[in-house]
Amino acid sequence: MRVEVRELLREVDEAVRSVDLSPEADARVAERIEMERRRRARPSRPIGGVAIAFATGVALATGLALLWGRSTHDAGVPPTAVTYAPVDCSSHQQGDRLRLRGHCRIELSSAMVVETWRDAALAVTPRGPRVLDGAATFEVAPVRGDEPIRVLVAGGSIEVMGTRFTVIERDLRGRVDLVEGRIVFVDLSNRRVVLLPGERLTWTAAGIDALPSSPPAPTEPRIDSVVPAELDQPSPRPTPRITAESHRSTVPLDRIAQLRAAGRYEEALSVVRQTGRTKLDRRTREALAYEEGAILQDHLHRTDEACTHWRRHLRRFPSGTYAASVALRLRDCESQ
Amino acid sequence: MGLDVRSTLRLVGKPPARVEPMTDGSQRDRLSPDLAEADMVAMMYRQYRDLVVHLALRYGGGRRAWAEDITQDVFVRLFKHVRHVNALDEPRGWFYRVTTNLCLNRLRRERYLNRPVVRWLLRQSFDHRDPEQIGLTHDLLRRAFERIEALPPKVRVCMFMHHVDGLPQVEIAEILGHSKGYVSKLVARGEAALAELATERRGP
Repeated sequence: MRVEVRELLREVDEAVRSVDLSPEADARVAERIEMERRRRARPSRPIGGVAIAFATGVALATGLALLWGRSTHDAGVPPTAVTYAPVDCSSHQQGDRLRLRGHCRIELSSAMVVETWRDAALAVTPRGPRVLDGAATFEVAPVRGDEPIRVLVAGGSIEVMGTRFTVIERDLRGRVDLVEGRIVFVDLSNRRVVLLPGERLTWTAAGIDALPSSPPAPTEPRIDSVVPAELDQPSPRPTPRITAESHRSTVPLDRIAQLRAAGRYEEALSVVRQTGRTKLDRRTREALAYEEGAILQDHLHRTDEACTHWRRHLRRFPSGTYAASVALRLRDCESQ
Repeated sequence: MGLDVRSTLRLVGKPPARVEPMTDGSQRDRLSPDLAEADMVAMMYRQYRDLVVHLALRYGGGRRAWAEDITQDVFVRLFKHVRHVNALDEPRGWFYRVTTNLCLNRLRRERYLNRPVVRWLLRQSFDHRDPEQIGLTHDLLRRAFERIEALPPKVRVCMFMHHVDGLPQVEIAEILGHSKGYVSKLVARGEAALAELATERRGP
């Protein structure tokens, strides 16, 4: 019988071996190795990081400038450079398509930064960036003039005047969660829906699927777990984690979002801290702790305090939902 | 400057007929220690890429993306140890060991994440592998593939190491960090799971 077992295993193994990786996959592996080589080759971290980001940015900007060149007038603020920030990002560019893996932070223009955490695909079109697949958080600086910046999605486009929001798109379905500011979703029949901080809108390829509603509490995307299953559903369903409904009485999410949207970060921080002292479940405490660190680091620029906060966060939630993101933030923060 | 690893891709040939984990030491030319680490990695990538990809595809049930991730992890890890690996008499053993252990760790994590309760909590769909995607159209082989995929990761890895790669149980125990007795038990468990199909294969 052992002989038959061996033969079965060998035949299965032979069949599996016939698969092999695609040339694109090989190229991605090679690119990742090359990135690691460059990372190790740079002389010192801060200077090397800037040099690599600059060199990559110049190379990519050359390609993108050609794509954008003709129709910058109707594209709002034209992207000027694509700069890869350090973290743990690998990218593959094919034509106007960018496939990103890992934690990437990309400057699409002087006014727009996009951040992705796992696999994501974007297209850089003359009308604006398009989210093809995956989750991406956009940060848009306030736009001067009348023409907004547009982010294209399957069900229409998102017009932005200066804000932070997360787009998740998969299989021509998607959603946007607005963190700060104000955005207008324009569907394919030119129907316009205004979103306020803390609101979510979902779409399909046919247009708007569900009008604005309050999203779950965490303001950063949770691509690792929620996205695929959630987008398989025709409309958003309450998650078993924290939801706006289940915690509205105890967690003043809207208040925090409004304060952030208004640029009143000290007050937002104070509300987050006060709320964190109340009795909450572990997941909500983690989300609030993440929020606190993000405000300290991104808005108040209190780097030392943020570093201490992230270290404490990792000790409190070593295997939490945000552990990977916190570790990266801590690394960024310590390198400053 | 380091060697551009992308250029080496063109030189990658077809995989060897079978994974031979530790047996080709006599033919090995050690790389010059004067080479930059990146060059060593690039050359080792050319040399051992097929072994790593094959093992990753085997344990990942033919999933390309899975195998790609493992391959990246192995060669990124190699950067840390490249001089040590180059000094080894048989680097192939290092690649075999590291790839197998990375695959095993990932399979364990996946198995945990595929538990119904965890899937429900994380809202993830079950990662189903279709045997026909890897060309297993024959019914017996298809069922064997499914049975193998359903085995606990450790059992699956031990079965392939023992029956396909021909490693003695002592060596498997050393690579996986278990006792020989435990490996023997795992192999026996795997054989029992495939016994019915083996009997069917042998015929009446």
